[in-house]
Amino acid sequence: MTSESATPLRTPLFQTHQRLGARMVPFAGWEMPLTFAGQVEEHRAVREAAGLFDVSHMGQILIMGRGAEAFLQELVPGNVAALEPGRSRYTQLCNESGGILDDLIMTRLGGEEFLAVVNAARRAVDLAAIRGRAEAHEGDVHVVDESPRWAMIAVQGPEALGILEKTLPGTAWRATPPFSFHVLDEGGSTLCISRTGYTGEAGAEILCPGEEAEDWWNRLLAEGAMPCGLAARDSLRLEAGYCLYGQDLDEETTPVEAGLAWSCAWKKPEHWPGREVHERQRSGGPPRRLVGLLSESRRPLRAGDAILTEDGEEAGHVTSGGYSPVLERGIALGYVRPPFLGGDRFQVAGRGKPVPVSKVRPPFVRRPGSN
Amino acid sequence: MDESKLLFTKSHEWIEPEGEARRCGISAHAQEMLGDIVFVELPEAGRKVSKGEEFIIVESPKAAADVYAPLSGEVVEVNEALEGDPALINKDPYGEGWLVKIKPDGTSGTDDLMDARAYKDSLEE
Repeated sequence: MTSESATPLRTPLFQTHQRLGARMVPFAGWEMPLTFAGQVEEHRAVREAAGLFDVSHMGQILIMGRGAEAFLQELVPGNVAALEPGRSRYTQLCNESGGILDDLIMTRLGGEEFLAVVNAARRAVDLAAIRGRAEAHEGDVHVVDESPRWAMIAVQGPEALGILEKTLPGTAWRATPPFSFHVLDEGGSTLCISRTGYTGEAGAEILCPGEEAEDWWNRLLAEGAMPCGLAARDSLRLEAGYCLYGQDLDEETTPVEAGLAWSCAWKKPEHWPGREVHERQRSGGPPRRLVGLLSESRRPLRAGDAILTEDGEEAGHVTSGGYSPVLERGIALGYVRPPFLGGDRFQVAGRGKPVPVSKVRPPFVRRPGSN
Repeated sequence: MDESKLLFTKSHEWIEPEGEARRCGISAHAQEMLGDIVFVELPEAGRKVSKGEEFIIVESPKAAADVYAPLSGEVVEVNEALEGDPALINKDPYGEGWLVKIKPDGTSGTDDLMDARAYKDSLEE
């Protein structure tokens, strides 16, 4: 089945969500919880205590074989060769024109074995692109789609790691920095703890076999994590200034335009798809650049709204908009063209009166101990 | 506010059935569909509105909704408390979450407005 299939896919936690009274919505070919108690309440729980997210729709792709490291070093802009075993980093998969096919977390499980965690809606595209390139490395690189096997649960917030400690036996994974990855043997079953997330808070994402997901979910719930849906996930990642594929990132957008140049290994000698375009934009400036916008009003900003200068000249558009429950103001990510990039004050025009906004460098909300 | 005494529109507004200046707002169903309300754009007091005219915008993080005037008349008062706490509409849609008071000018009828029971039935259709 692919994300285009008519019947939505369900995660192993579907019935658990229904029992908790979640409002379910179709998302990237899946039927996912939008809200449980309510978006703002869930958002605040993650900022102040801990929240629990079902992210089992995300894809897990294993890349292994004796040529895996060299293959990946030429596949993504990030520095895969520099990854220690049990460490992860954020990178992208790009096409030859430099546009982003997907953004992902790459982990070196060990030696020549890597795990890419990818967006649900892009899994099929990613697999085709990775497998297409792996053909030239026949026998040295194996690509396995592990997605159907794994459930994934994110526990996020200042109390998230404390809750995990109460839930999990053993101490090996504790006191480890963000972007580390642990594989635990749990009575013959595998459990992975990834110190990553999409909320800007401390926390982890755990990977477990689908049939064990409900048990882990309930154990984390019992320790006090609040179930959260996609709505809160979106407002949390926006406050944290994280791009969302399909909104802020797409095949027409490069990592340099999206403010992700920090994640590219400019010093590595290897070519990666789109590198010439990325280098050119890096030295000469991109044709547009992602900016953060903070409104003076509570009014949520909306994707598609126009970004205008103070004089009303069109400077770009909003790609992710919303409301920050922490700042109690409208916030947005959007793209602005170079002649206007020097400006600090803009207006955002949707329905109703244009609202004055300030250009800010994301994150909108900076949190201690965040991933 | 006793919900059972209010009149409702098909577009989910409510209004008091009688009085010189009548409070109006959005229904419990409407606020539930919108989710957490974080912003309200209210008209100025003194504005004349025609029945069915968009005169208020209510926004949650996921959607913006127009509110239509349930009767023609003049907006004589707006609920200032909503500016600081728009979530009052979620907490108490028929009480503290009222939006404006309208003084009807008598040019629009109320025949198409529903009582609470008819409105409830219409939601189940």
